[in-house]
Amino acid sequence: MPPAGSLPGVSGFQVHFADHDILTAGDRPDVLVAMNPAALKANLRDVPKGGTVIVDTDAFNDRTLQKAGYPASPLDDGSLADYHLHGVALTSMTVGALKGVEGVTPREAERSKNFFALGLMSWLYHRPTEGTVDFIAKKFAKRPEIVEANTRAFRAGWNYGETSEDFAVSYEVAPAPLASGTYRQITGNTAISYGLIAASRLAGLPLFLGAYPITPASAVLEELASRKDFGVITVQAEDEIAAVGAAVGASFGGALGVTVSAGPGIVLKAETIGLAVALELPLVIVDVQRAGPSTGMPTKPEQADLLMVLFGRNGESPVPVLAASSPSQCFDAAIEAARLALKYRTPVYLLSDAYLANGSEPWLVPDVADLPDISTSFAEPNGDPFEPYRRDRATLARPWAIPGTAGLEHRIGGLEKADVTGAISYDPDNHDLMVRLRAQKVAGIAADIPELEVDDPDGDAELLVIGWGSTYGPIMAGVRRARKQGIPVARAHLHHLNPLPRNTGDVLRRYERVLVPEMNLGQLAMLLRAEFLVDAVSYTKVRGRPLSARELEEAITTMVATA
Amino acid sequence: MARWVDEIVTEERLLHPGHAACAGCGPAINVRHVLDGLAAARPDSRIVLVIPASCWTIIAGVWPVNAFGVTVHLTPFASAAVEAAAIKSALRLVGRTDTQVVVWGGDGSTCDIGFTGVSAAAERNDDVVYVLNDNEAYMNTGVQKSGGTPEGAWTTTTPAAAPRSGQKKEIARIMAAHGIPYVATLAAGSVPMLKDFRAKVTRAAGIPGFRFLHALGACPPGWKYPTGESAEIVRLAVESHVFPLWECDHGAWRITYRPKRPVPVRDYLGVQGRFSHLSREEIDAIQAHVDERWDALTAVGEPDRELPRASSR
Repeated sequence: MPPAGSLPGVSGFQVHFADHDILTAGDRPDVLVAMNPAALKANLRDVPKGGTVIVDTDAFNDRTLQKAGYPASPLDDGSLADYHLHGVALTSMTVGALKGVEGVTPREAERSKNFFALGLMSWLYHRPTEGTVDFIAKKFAKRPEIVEANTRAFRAGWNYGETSEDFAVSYEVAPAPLASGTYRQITGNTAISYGLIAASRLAGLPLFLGAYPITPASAVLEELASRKDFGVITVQAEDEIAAVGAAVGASFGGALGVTVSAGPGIVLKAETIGLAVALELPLVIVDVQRAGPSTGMPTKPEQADLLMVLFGRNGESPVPVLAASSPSQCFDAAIEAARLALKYRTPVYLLSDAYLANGSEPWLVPDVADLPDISTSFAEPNGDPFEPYRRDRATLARPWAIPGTAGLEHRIGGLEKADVTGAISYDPDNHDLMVRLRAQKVAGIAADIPELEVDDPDGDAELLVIGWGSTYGPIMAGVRRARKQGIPVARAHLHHLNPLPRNTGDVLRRYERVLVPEMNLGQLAMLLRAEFLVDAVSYTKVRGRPLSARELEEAITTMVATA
Repeated sequence: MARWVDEIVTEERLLHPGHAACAGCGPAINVRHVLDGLAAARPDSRIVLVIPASCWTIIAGVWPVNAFGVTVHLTPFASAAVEAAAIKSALRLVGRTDTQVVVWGGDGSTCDIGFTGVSAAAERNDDVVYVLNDNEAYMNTGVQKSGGTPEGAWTTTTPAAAPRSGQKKEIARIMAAHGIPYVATLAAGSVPMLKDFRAKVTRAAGIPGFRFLHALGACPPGWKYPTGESAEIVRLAVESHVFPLWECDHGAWRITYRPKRPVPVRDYLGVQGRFSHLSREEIDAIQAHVDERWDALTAVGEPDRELPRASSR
């Protein structure tokens, strides 16, 4: 890491809590606690004017100011006049509070200042303190003296808020109204892992994951590798090609085959995914997108793999594509991906991204009875020669035969196959038919997925904002802000990107204007324009950071103003 | 000895201080001695460093800093060896014959995803110094098992309940079997070991063709030990025969460092958290495997004894 106190060395975290359902991590914090001048300089631009800034005055001296590039102390030169500035001697008060704690060095005592600051914040917002005290006791259980130090610092911070006259006001945040039930925190990657396990149970098939380490997808491999208790088989392959090959082999063998990666790994898998299209076998491919091209910014989110997963294979090679919209929704999305893969005997892409993968939110643990039945059946020998490409009339799916079953001997592969028999065929008419059958099979899924829902409370909006994937939260929050200004605006979010919901064209044509915010250069907008001939307008940012509610509010108000 | 130590302590470094490696990073020690050794061996040459996806894409720093004093080309995981070979060819075509092209690739890229490329470059005898930076797992993505992960080790994909089964790929011996001009193992565990390390780097710099150096680098967060112990743990790896120091120079095998009093492998395993779940029986089994490998290696590595070879270049 770059040295502490320098601008590149600034680290921190952001917490967002509210009396309503939270949609984003919050783009403009109301309070900034800066532990040194560099932290102030790096983060002040995010705090809206009128926000509260709390600084550790002990950390402001000539040396640290110079390191951060401040010619004069911002605490004295009036440059912070637009903020509610509180100078607090966090370090020395923490060290003072920890005097007499045995076994804690002065340096360790200083480190407890984070808990002093947390105590002050807990007071400022009337947060319950028991949870934090319990957390400290568990987290540092191996070092009782650190438990004592952090607890003391935490309480000292709270007491400082209570007794100091520096803070004239404090705030109370009411509990949010949420459906009752058991909640737990969940990240997108954990939710995908659990969703895949649930899918394997609901399908009555063993789950087989072939994967290769890659940021930000590795946590799915790690989670599933530790789930042998659910009968999960994981193969950490030697590369991406082997990982997807293992998954296809497992599918051929009768398991639910899954592979997980990020963009640079998905491109390597492309040939084998094309094979799965030709084999017409179930396969779930999870792409946890990150900023590209090439290695790009491995830990940062982007939505720029959409056109790749739709079109990034040779030949006419249709693959259904789903996109998760929030960390907890990743659970349902994984089950839906498995459902479509099994029912239609096709590879299915599930798109997530680094924002969903690592973001966490409360998840209402579902009742198993409410989850869909996605069980499937295998071909049975009936005395006649087995026809591996005789399709189900409703779904156009082909039979799935456990290899080695007597009476079901068959040959499949990447070469073009004759309709019904599956024999290798170079016949021109047969190829034309097979290309169209594969396309029809995937297009037909539109009848089996929900219609696109539109959120247009008064039905008087002329502007529709439509998105996909992890922009769900920022778009919803941005739309809410615009509505507060009195602007009627409709909103819709796509979870199925191939095929699109059957009413998508009707929805788009119902509105005068359509705004498509994306973390790419307009990939969904291009699809919608091409497919439905509507004048969809792109709003694009590729900064490796989620879109913010504030910028989307601005985009909406600007668009309405120029109507 | 003292003068030699003075020289390497005071030499100009091609990995500058202030890089972003973790505290105690063993590979950071190794890369410095590889680069400085290659530069010292051929003072008039320049170095181009080729690095596949790894911690080393980040350690050099994020703008505006860069810790490397050489030109660096970062490649995808699988293609470092062939890109390096092509860089060398292109430099020859434009008249820059004096440039040393060096790969610094991890155990994941070398043993797993990039193995076909490394093997093919060796088979063609491409004019490249390929250094395997072995920290025995995919550390950059968060400690997943690789083909270089040793038997019994915990990683995030081989959890303690089901630790790594099977043996670490014997990559250096596999590379030697390609009949390339030079293969050697490197460990910066003590002053004598470092002297051996630098001598091998110097030797590699003076030979044309594909040279393969296998450097063991301890990783505090991945191997789970205090950051001050990196050199000591590598020393124990050598003294316990877990990581023998040898070379194969144009087909001639030689053990270059024989521990006078070998220590039991439990001394090496016991100081690392990644092995803390192992039972006594499991440690005994690892000891037996280490002994077998040492016996097999020393049988071919006897002084004056050469392996039968078909295609030494």
